Amino acid sequence: MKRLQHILKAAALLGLLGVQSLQAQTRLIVGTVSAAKDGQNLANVSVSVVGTNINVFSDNEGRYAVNAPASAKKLQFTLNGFQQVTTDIPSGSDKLDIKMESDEVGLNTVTITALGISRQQRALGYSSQNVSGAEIQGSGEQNVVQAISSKVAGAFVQGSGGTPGASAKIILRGNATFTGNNQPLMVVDGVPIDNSTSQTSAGDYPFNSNLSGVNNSNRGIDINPDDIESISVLKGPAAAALYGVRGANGAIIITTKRGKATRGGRNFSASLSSSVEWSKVNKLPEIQTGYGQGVNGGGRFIDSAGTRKAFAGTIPPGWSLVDGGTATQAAPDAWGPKISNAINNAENFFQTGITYNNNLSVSAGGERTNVRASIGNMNQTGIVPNTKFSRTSVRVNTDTRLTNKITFGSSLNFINSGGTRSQNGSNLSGVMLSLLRTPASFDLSGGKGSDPWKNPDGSNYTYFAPYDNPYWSVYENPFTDDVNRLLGNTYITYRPLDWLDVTYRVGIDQWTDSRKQIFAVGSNQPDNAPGGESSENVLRYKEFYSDLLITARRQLTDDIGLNVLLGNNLNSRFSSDQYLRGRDLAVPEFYNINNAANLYASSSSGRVKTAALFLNAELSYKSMLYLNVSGRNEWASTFGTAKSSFFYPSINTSFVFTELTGTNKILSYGKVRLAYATAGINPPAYATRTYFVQPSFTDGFTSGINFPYLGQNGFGQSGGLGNSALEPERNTGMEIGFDLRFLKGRASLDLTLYNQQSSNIILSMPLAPSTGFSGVTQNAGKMENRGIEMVLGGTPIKSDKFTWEVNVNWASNRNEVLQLAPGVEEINVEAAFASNGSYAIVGEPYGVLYGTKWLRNDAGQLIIGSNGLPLVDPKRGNIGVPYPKWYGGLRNTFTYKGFTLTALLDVRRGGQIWNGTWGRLTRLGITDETAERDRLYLIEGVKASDGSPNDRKVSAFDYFRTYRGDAGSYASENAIQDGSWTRLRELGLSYTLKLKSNKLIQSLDLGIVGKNLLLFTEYKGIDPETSLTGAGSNIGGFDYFNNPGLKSWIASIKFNF
Amino acid sequence: MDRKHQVQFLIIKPTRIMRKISLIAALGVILFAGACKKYVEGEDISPNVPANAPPPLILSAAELSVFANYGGNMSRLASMWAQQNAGCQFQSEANDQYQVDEGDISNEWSVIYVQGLKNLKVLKEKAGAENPHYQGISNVLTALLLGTATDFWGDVPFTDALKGEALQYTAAYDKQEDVLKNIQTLLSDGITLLNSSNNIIVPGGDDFIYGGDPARWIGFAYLLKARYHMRTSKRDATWYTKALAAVDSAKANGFTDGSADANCVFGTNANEYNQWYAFSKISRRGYIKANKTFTDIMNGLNDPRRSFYFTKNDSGKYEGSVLGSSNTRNVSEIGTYFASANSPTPIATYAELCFIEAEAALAAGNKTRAANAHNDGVIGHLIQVTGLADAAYVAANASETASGIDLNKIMTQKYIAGYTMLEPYHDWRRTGIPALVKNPRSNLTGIARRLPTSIDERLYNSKATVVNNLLEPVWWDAP
Repeated sequence: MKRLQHILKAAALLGLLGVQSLQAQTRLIVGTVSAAKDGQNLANVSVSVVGTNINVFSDNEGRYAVNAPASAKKLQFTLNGFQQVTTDIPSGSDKLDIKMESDEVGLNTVTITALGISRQQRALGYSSQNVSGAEIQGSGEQNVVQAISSKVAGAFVQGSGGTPGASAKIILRGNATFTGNNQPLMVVDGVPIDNSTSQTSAGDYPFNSNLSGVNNSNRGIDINPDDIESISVLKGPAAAALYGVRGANGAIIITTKRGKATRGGRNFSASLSSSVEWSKVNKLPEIQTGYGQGVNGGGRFIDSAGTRKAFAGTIPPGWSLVDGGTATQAAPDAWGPKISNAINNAENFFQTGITYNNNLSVSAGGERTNVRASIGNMNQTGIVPNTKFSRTSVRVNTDTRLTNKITFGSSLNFINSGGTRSQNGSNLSGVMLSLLRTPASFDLSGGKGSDPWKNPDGSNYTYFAPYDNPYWSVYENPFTDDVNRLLGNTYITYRPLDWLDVTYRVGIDQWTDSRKQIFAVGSNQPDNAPGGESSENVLRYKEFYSDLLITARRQLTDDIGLNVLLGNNLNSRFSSDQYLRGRDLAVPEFYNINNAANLYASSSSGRVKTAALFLNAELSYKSMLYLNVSGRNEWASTFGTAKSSFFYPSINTSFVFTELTGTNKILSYGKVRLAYATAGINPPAYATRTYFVQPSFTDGFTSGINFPYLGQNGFGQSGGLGNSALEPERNTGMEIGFDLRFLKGRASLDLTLYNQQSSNIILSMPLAPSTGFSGVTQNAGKMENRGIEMVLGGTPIKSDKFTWEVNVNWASNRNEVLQLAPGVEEINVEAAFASNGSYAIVGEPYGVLYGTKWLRNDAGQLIIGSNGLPLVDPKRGNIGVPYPKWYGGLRNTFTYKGFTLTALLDVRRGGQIWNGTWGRLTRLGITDETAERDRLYLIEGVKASDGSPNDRKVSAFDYFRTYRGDAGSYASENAIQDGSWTRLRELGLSYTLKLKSNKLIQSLDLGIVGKNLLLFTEYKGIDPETSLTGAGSNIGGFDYFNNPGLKSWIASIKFNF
Repeated sequence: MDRKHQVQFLIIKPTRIMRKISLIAALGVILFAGACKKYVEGEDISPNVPANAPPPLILSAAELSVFANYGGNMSRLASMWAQQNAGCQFQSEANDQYQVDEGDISNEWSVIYVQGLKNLKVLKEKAGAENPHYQGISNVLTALLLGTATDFWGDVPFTDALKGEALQYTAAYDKQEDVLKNIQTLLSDGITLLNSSNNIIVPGGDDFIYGGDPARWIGFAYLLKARYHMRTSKRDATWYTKALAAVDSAKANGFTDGSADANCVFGTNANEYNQWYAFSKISRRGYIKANKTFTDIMNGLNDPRRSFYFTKNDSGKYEGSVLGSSNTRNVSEIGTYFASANSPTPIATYAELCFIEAEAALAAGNKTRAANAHNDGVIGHLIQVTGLADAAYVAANASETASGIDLNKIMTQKYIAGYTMLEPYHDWRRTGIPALVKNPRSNLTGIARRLPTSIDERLYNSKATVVNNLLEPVWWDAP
């Protein structure tokens, strides 16, 4: 009751203020805005009354009319591409015409910042980088995350493979947390949306499902790139502090196109575009074609009696070396006899993938209302047979100015996406697993059954019984997903006083993903259900988001401005996962749970709620010095009971020193910026208590045993210990930056140095099992990211007809794990393989590859055992860092009349990959390096016995199998390879044809884009831009029969009406 | 209304309007702060998993941890190192060459402590003194798992262990000698508890091993007492007296034939599969096959159990893979008796009890009792496996008398009867029977005599006693 009184009182006061403001005197100022250069009238110029929130836009004829309070002194005119004009309101007249100079230096660029607030780039005290919609669309990428790749300094983008709809991961300035989410918050039109990647995982599946299964999509793929007006990348906590407990990883702020009146005074415009893309596999491991399936080959011996001996060393008299072996289908190896008619199964298997992309958009602008509606359809078939992905997106954005005081609008997007996916990774039905392992002596499409991948009895036609034929896998074991998603927001802005705005914005993001996986009777996956499987998985996500933003803008003196924002945010995120599985299908090829003899179901859900109050204040002096402070106090359902809320402060300043020193011939603009801020990462849900769980038991070799068991249920105390004192993680960032433009904008340099310290990092602090627990959720870790980001721009040639532009972005990040937990020196980031994993180790970069190493002496030489093979170090350790030392993009753009030629080179140096594919294929005698089998091999090193140089030679079989390959006593370090690359990521040629005579079609854009046409890398496998575990995982640098990458050509045409 | 004095009122003295706005802001913040806290409340309890569970559910979970251990990787390693099976491919090939590092067995260690011993402790607490049968079973299974741990790892934590909930995150390791004493105490206490008849709830179907029958559990407890007295044969000069007493008690409590055996029980659903079946017939075909060392011994005796133990090779023979050859072709595999979907895997058997008796009686100098116990063990196991006591085999191998019986015969027959169990490997370490040579392709100088300390203990327990040398014997395996 008391609260209600407060509300009423507040409302009354607010109302009173409104009445008072109405009594204020105003003047109507009118005029026309035109370009100084050619006198053309300018539409959509923002006209604002300095010191107030009053803001109008010029119409199609460049006319504007603004009601300015009597006290107002100045008007400000802003339009991207033109220099901002701030001018006194004439005292005698109500008419003010303005001519705007074009802005070649880029002084007035406006950037969308946290919470969707648009600010002048010059006022920002932190680094943010924009990517234009045109650049996104020009990349030809259908996944918005992938489209950012190599365009933003400090944005590390990793695609997971070339299959349709495969996820892409983005990390800004390095990983900030250990086991939580490391990817930035994705925001569309001011409201966060979900960009998660989730793998289907049954409740009884004991392993990390990211290691097998299919390449799923990151949900950001639902955003139609054609709808994007611009993307602003807020790289660190300094930029994203206003997102509080979700801001530690930075943010990707996507702004979609909104309706506006354009082109020669028309209130309407439209465009229709179509493109076709042809894709092929860009790289596969090199294989040997001289030996077929079998055993006993590979430089082993036969004695004088003709008996095979698997023994090397000193060759006894009468023994001879044999390179070819015996053919048999009982072994998966290619250590068999010599063959002459090698079959290239991979070449036969992969096909040309085709993508059709069609977009229609209509934009209209009137006096009060602007609307843009678009529909886009993308249809993709993959390089792997029977794989596809499609997306249909419908978006409507509206803005209505109801009165001078009330504006409202909305942004709504409905999406249907999904497709058919193929098995990937460590999976007996994995496409690449059986495709690459198949020796050249076996034709995978040579079955004599009803389909070429079947035997006459309908069973799997496969070279080795435990692996599915890849054709069988793609045709008989497909995974399908179908996502329906509605996202958007609606807002209303009320201006009770000229200098005070109140905005309330409500956003939703809701999706349902219905998935189905089938395994035909006789498939090898899942490995304990030869009777076939049909499983259904429904994932649901619901996010509610609201902001109340109260903005006050005042000019304190002629030179000092103050801008204060006070706000409240509420957020609720719910997700659920329902899984139903039926095994042992009664009627073959009928895939429905009703057809199964064995049923299993699991379900889980979770809700996270946060609430926050925040304040942001910006003080400006002339257009020279800006000081910005902000604070956000946040409550969350996932915090422990020790403290109910946490505070996230930020402060940053921007100093445009050329306003003080003036510009000269060389330096046209110079700015220094400095920022300090803290943002957070929310603890995982429900980690504050210890629960009882249905245990499942497996040793990693079998699927193990679990409940319900023999008709009984069972629960045990969880191995994870809860922690009631849990706090959010903090990422405290400091950065200094310079923004310098030279020669009237012909050259520019933007440099940022940053240091970010993550602390209180939550980890499932591993406990020794002897405590009775495997881990406790704890705020314990510390990690540092420091680095340099650089953006260079230049226009070497600029004339009326011909322009050459160069853009470089370059970044280097050094990550170091500073602390894990008391007494803990290393933790597993995420469960991986028994032989090697991904670890956080104190003093080393996050996520290092961790596995077995060769035993070495102090000089680093291998220690060789009496059998001629090296010994393995009994302790595992860091064997590689999967993140690059530096990476960058170089774009050259040439324009000549209507033609534009652009080439984007993408360079990545460093970044190691555990090439488990290569290790296994070498062991099996498949890789090309195993081709030479008629000789002995000597492994360099010293003898374990006496330290003298090793002289014991081994057969090709032992050399490739257990030294180069991953059999027996091998060390994982052998499969670590450099993933550096240089690639021509994008090569585009476009031509715009202006059709002035034609009234319907204004212009025509024609384009050809080549993606990934050239790739230079030392990596011995598929395209090193690969990820076994996808964007839903913190593991990087694993390649174990990953699906390959692509190169492609796109042809497009766009009609502008 | 004139508002020329903006600067002053903003910076120095707010006017009425500004005061009102400040008031609204202040009210708003207070109002909103309370509302914010309220908004997030009550969402911290998981809807997916319970915060508590009653004793029957915990017993079922704890027994499954025993099945996972006795039926899974531990028994595969033991059978390869005892050379009953041969690791021919992939990880098993490496294991066969004693390539087992600290990461390879972390799962097994964790199952014993986190899933097994910890939940047995929770079971005992939840059952309380008013339910002594649950408490007694908890004691017996605790002794069993602790025994498994110490047999493979030597010194293991117990006194200090399982205290994570009290935020004690390190645990000193107890000496194996003390662990073995503790096992005897646990078993004695367990027997007392199981003899009590005052229970509010008693186990039934939730007890997969004995269906809640306290007499069976008592017999099993005595067998385990005998097993662990025998284990100290190289350390305790009077072990056989204690072992024989325990054997007598086991028999007195009904451990008189195979129906009293403690078994891991399995089912026909995929999540209930016998783990030898799941491994060798489903998930990891060809990784492990029979070892020629073992098939040679059985062939030499023309043992009628061969057709139950193994499949025939392509030549129609029972012939395992030659040690170290990694050969998988024309080699016998583990047969349906041990590796069917729902065939049980033995934990402790009547045959084992007989052979413990025989070995102890022999040590005590009572050769007649030794011979009789040996014969009982062979015949009992023959009947259990094949359904009948093959007359020729009994005549040749189970008709020992005081004059002919020796340790070699007892341990060889125990070795045969112990297929898929952990005991043959432990017995070989203790007695050297049967005579085994190391895998020639191994870089070690001998057969592994233990498992390395789990990586999780090395990394996260500063008080752990870390041993990586697989040749370092445990305390009872005195040189």
